[in-house]
Formats: sequence, structure tokens, C-alpha cells
Amino acid sequence: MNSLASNVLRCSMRVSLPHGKQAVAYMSKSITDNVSIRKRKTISKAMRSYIDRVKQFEEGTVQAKEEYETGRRFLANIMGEDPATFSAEDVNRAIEYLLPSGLFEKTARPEMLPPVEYKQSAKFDNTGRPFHFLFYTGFPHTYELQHETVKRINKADALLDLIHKKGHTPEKEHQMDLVSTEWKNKKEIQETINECMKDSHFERTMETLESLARHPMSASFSSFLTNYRKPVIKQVAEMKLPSIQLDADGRSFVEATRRRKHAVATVVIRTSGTGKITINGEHDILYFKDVQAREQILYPLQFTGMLEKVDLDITVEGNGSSAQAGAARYATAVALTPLVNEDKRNEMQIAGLLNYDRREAERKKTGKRGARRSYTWLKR
Amino acid sequence: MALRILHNELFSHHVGVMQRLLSSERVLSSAARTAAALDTSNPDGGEASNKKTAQPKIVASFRTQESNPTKHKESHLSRYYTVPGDISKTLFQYGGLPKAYEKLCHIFTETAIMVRKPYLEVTNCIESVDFSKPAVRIVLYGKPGHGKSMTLAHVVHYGYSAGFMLVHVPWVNTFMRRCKDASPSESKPGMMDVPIDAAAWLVQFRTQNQHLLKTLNLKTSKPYQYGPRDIIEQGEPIDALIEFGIGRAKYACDVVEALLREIKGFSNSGLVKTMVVIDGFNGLFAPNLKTQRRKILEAKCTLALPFLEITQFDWCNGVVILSVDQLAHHDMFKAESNLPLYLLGKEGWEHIDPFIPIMVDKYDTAEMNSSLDFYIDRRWIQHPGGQTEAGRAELRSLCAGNGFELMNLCAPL
Repeated sequence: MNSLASNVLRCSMRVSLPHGKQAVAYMSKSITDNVSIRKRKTISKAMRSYIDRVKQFEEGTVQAKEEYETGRRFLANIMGEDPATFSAEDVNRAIEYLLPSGLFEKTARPEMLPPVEYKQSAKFDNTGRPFHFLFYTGFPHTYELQHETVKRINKADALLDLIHKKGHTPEKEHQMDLVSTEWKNKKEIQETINECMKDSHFERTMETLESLARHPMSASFSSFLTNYRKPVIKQVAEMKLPSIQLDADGRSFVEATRRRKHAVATVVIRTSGTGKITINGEHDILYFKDVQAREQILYPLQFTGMLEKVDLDITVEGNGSSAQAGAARYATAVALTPLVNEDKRNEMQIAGLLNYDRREAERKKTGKRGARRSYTWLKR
Repeated sequence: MALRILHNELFSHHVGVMQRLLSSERVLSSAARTAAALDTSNPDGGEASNKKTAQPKIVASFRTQESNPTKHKESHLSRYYTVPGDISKTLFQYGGLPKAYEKLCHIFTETAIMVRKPYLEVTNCIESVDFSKPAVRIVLYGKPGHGKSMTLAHVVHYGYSAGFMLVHVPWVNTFMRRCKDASPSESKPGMMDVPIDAAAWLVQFRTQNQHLLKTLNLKTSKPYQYGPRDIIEQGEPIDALIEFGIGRAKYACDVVEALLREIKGFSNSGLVKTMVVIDGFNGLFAPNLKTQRRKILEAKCTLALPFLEITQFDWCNGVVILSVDQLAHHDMFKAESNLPLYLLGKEGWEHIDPFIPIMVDKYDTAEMNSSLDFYIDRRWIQHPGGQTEAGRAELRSLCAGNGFELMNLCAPL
């Protein structure tokens, strides 16, 4: 009986109601029947309030499910489709169609979602006794992680002693490879152990983990440590360089297309040139009236020392001159990457030549003339 | 990027300092000096050193001492020559150089013009023309800032040196688009006179052709009567007609017409050779007239007629050199092309056909370098970065061979 109740109790639910508000509670199947059979003495206060909550929430969930089902069938009828095969996706589409919204923020638009369920085990048994031995510390999983880590450090020390006793020194492969991976950040660690952490707790935990990772025998515990580490993303190494191609005259060229705001630029760089710049087929660099825009285009060439050594063929459209120049600069820089060495490429990366400029025009607000500026004040 | 330092507020001070620095002696930059040391094959430097063996004059590689444009040839290409001060004053006192460059000439204390390919093409044409045949029309075209007006200024100097009578309109739109005053014409009903501009042009004509008017002793071929007491008899010196036009601005437009007809007559009779130089010729075909105060008058301008008449080929002993310009288009912001067919329109094309088109192209690398050397020499570029090879390469790339653009870019340096 005891085990049955605890098993059942571990099934709990989290329900997302249609209007987006979320409520957390616990529920179990046929929980009321079980409770009535059991002796009252054995039920703790904590357990009772828990059971009450579950009961209350179960009712709420059933109602929410019924409401959602009714709404789903209603929408299916409105849309003239078969209610039996009308899925949650169809519901979303119907809502978008029937209640079109111009609101910018997507979460502010009307929506109808099914009650979402998720399971979380009860933290104590029906006598009110917590499962976790560190429950009363308030941060059971954090402390557990620290305990586990220290245990492994001790094991690693023992392993090291064994090696020393044999008169050997630890090999390099006994230590874990720490280059290809890095520590997860606080948020990710919290998700891994499913518990909120204080900053001080986090620091302490990381110190402990670090000392295990730095241990000469850490390789044996790599499966434990990889739970708290993530692979390093190398941007420059993984950067895909545009390929150098040969044209009909046997001249090599590189092509790249990049954007800035809504401007799109395609740049073809031809090697062994004289610095000729063609824009949209018929113009020279004076296509850009302002000097700043012209300087933008020349900057990657100056940076790599390619000025007057390569020919540029730029095709650019959309937006105004500075956005066009920005797009052309970005595309030029990218197209130059296969023509320069690794060091220069890294320098270009650091100088920000190979990054997308994500600044965009701020949206216009209602009641304002533009993004920020108010209308001219008129005395009535 | 760091080359461009703005110091407009220091400009006036700058000009004063420049004049003090440049007036005493021509200062050579280090780059120019090394180039000059190598410049043994300088075509005129050799002559100069033969005459004065004691002290050969150092001539920078971007300059030529040959100030007579009739002697300019291929070996002078992309070099600057200086128009002698008195001639410059005679020819360009009332315009003829682009305004921005005129200012620079004042600062540099010299009028320097680069010998360029289109100029040699024009002079080749003029030299091979048979003057007993109808007047040949040459049309310069090209993008704004590539040097059409500078080429025309050079050609004007050529005409002056070769003894042509000059009929020079520095910029058509000074009277077509920005006329000082406009009044209904008495002699040509329905058209507008631009008396002040016409009188100003007469002053310019008198100044440019002073030497010819003095020596040739030209006389009017028929009597002219403008008012009851404003009569010019037959056989009076042509100066009298010009003086009358200048004095009585009311009749200046009619005087210009009469004067140009007289010049045609003198040319036909072989008394003089005439060179007609009109900058922004397509402006003459504008459908309306615009005053300095931006008032648009829906009428044709009487001053345009004589210039249209003299660009016809019904006379001989003359050569006509014109330029068509996007900036002279009646609506210059809407001009889409710089080609003569577009700019002249149907009317203009029919008027000027057949003609010799000469394209004024952008600066090549040699011309660019020569120009930069000149600016460095004249201390127009003082920024140390502008004198390095990297800085020069940046300037060359930024202006894409456009001389006007280069001048503007160098202004704050």
C-alpha cells in the first residue's frame, strides 16, 4: 500500500491553461480512494496538504482540458474541417486567421494552447519524510553535486597513490582533455541539476569541479565531468571561406554576398588587378556621393593591403547609401578572406570586419512621428 | 581614414599663410625633388639648361616650362604648365575656369593647367582643319569633374596664342539659368532680353580680343540703328559697336547679334580666324529662362540666338569648340546621361550635326599622380599621411580619377 501510494504520487502534472497562465500542482490517479482506506495516523500534515493541492489541481486540469476540447471542436467547425483530425497546429492556424493581430510582440498575440503536462516527483513519502538526504539543506542537488565531486577527488587521489606506489608517474592520457570543452555557465548548470543556485554556491561548486578536472587522474571521471561541460565553439576555425574560382580568362576571383539592414551586396574580387571598382555594372566608386560610404568600401582593402591590387565588381541593391556601403564592405571583407593568411584573417575578425552588423532601424511607435520623436505640439 | 581633418575655420588663415609661403619661390616637395633629379629627359628642361649653363633650373616632373600651348605635344602629357599671369588675367578675368579651381588659382598664385589627351585631340583637329571649308564643330563630352571646362580653358589659351579671335562663353547657364535681369525684347517680340549678362559678355569679348581689335582695325559693314539717336554708321570701328552695347545695356543683346554677324563676315572675308568656345552648350536649348532669383520665365532668350547662329556651319575661317555637360542641362538633377545625343536633345542634335565628338575621360594613374604632386607642391596637401604612398593610394581610390572630386578631397588635408 505504502509503495503503491508513493508510486502514484510521483506522477504529478504541470498544466498550462489556455490563457497562458501556468499553475503547478500535483495529481494522482484514484488518489482519493487510496487515502480513504489508509489509517489517518500515518499521514503527516505536509502530506495531507500536498494531497489536497493535488486534488484541487486535478479538477482544474480536467476542466481546462474539457474547455480546450470544446474550443478545438468549435474552431474546427468554424473552419469547416473535421473535428476528429483537427490538431493543435490547426488550432493555432485558425486563431491566427480568425483573430489577426498587428501586435509586434509575438507573445502578446492571442493564442490557444492545450494544457501542458509535466511530471515531477514528490520530494517526500507519505509519512512526510523527504527522499533526499540533503532535503533540509534547502539546496539538496547543489550539495549532492559537491559531495559527489569530492568523492571522486578522493578516488582519484587513491588511483594516483597506486601509480606512485608502483613507482610510475601519471601519463598525459590519464588526465581529461579540457581543450575541446569548457564549463557550462550558471544557467546551464542550474538546468542540469534542476535547482536554483546562489552565486556563492555556484562558485564553490565550480571550484570543486575544477579541482577534479585538473587532477592528473581525471580521465576516469570524464563521463561525470562532461555533464557539466559543453563543447567550445571555435568561430574562426569553423568559418567557411568562400572558394577561389577561375574565370574564362584564367583569372582567379572570389565571390561573396552579404547584407546590412535591407541592402544586399554581391562582391566579386578579381586578383592581379589595378584597383578598378565597378558598382552595379556602370558606375565607379563615385556611385556613393558621400565620402564616408566610399571609405567603408575601401577599408577592408586597406586593412589587408590589397588597395590597387585587386579589382572589385560590386552589385548592390536596397536601402540607402550607408547600408549599401556597409553591405559592400562586409561582402568585400568576406571575399578577401581566402586571399589572405590565417593571421590576417584573425585580425580581420578582431577588427569586426567579418561580423554582421545587426543594427537596424528602430520601429515606429504609435503616437510618435518616428521611433522616438513626438509630433509637433499644437496648442488647441 | 584618418587623413581627413576638417579645419574649415582655419581656411582664411591658411590662405594667407599659403600666399606668404608660395610667393617668394616655388617650393618643391621631397618627392618632387627626387623626381626632378631623375628627370633628365624633360623635353623643355633640356633647352632651359642649354641657354643658362651656369644655373639649370630645377623643374619638377609634374611640371613643364612650356607655357605656349601651341607647342604642347605628347611628351607634355599629364604635366602642368603655368598660364602667364597677364594672359591669365586677360582670358579668365571674367570666367572661363571652373569657380572652385579659380579660387585655388588665387591661393596657389598661379594658373596651372594640365596638358591632357583631349586637348591634344582638339588641337590636332584644329591644325588639320582646312579653314577655307565650313566651320568644323568639335564637341567635348564626359562626366562632371573629368575636366571638360579645364580642357576648354586650355583651348582658349591655345586660341589666344595662335591668334584666333575668341568668341568665348565661359558658362552658358550664367545667362540661361541665372540671368541677372530679364526684360521683354523690343526687336524680337515674345522673347526675353538679358541686358546685363549681354553687356558683361561684351566686356569679356573686348578684354579677350583687345590685341586683335587694336591691330586689325575692323569696321562695321552696315549701319545700325537702335534708337532714334542711337545710330552706328557703316565703316565705324567695331569698337564703337561694342562700346555702345556696353554703354546701352538695353540694346546689348541686339549688339551681340550684330557683332557676331560682323565677325562671321570678317572671317568669311579672311580678315581674322575665329575660334568659338562655348562651355555647357546644351544649356542653350533649355525650354525656358530662369533668373538669379529663381523665377522661371516661359520664353526664349535672345542672347542664345547669336551663339546658336555662330555655331552653324554657314561660314568659314573658324572653328567651333563646344562642351555638353550634365550640369548645364535645364534640369540637371534629372539628367541621366552625359552623352551628347541625350544632352542636346532632338533640336540640339539637328543643329549641331555633323560634329567631331571628343570624350574627356577620367584621370589615368599618371595624371592622378601628377595632380597629387602638384597639390603637395602647392602645400594644398599638408597632412603627412597624404604624402605617403598609402595616403596617395587612398586618395586615388576615393576619387576614382575624378579631378574635381580629388580637389574636394584634398581641401581639408
